[in-house]
Amino acid sequence: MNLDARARAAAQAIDHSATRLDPVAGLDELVRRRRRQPLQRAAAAGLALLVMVAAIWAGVVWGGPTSIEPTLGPRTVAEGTVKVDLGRPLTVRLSAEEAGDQVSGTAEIISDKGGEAFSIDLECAAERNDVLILGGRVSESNTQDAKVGTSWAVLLKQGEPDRMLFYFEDPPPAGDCDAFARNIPDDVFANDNRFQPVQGDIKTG
Amino acid sequence: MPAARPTRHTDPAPGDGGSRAVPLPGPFEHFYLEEYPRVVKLAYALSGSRMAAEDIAQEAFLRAYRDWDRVGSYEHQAAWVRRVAANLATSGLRRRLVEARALARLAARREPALDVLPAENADFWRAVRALPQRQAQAVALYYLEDLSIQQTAAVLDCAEGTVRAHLARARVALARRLGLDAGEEP
Repeated sequence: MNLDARARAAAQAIDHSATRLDPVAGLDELVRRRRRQPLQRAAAAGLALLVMVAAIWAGVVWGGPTSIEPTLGPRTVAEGTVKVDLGRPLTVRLSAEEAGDQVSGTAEIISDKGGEAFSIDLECAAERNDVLILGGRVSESNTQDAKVGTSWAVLLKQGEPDRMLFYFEDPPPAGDCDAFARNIPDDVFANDNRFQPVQGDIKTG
Repeated sequence: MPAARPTRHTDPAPGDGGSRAVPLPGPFEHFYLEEYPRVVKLAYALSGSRMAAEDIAQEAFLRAYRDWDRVGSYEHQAAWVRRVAANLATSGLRRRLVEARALARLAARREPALDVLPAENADFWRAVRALPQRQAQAVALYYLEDLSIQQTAAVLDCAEGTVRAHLARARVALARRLGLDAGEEP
């Protein structure tokens, strides 16, 4: 058997595997999903008053002394996977490093109840009020609550245990990521109760 | 998703308020019923997941529906939705997002509508999925969808020569991996 014959046979097998597929049922499911989206947005708006963010240190300090040492290669800003309950149980995977004045990495936020997840391309890090701020733009998302292109920050307050909060702006603000992080309102940091304890370790640089 | 503090609000799109039913436009419904099975099969071949394939297709059609004013005006609507599905099925993170949703819904759902493939055919598609992303997409569209080089190029939004190159490299790699005669190029 040559490649073409094998490929045609494999294509036929896919065809035969789908005999129970019901496009009408699929259409019903699509309509249900379309209807759920406004409800999800409403739920997110209700939760929106509860939360905020996590934080990071990039090289610029607002409200505290700077202690960054020059480094030759990339240094880890934050690395680790933790669980946190911010209105619902989440797994948060952080991987951020800094080379020169450039911060790069990702934050993946996945609902432990399944389904919803999104990823933030991290572009900046800062520290403010003892909170590490990791900021960036949502690059991948399957939830309307975190639209692609919006600005998000993970705020991390280190301690025993570390505590976390999210902050976002939709539509994203004008200016770069550093400005976004710098302009997070003070009241975000003022209420300790908004920050929720995490399970797991995040290594910070 | 996680609660957060928006500093600005985006008003809901017209027709999105509350829990009102959102009727599907007629042309979209026709398009969906016509193309859905083919897009599911394409997603199955490229993802290898019976559970995720339907969700990948759903996600692709949902995106088409959200933007139907624009997509509906395209000459190649079918190519557009295939491109979205193919990208979802072959992109690591995007596929994980869809698979996560599929897994979450599994408990409350029926058995996947797709059957398990016979081992020999499953091996073929596994080898396809091991190819670079664009080569895998070209092979699936060419063999599974039986598209011409021109049609495959329209789906992948690239030149016909690029498709030929992808297919040529893919055939060599597949023949070597599967121990087959590559035969003549298409």
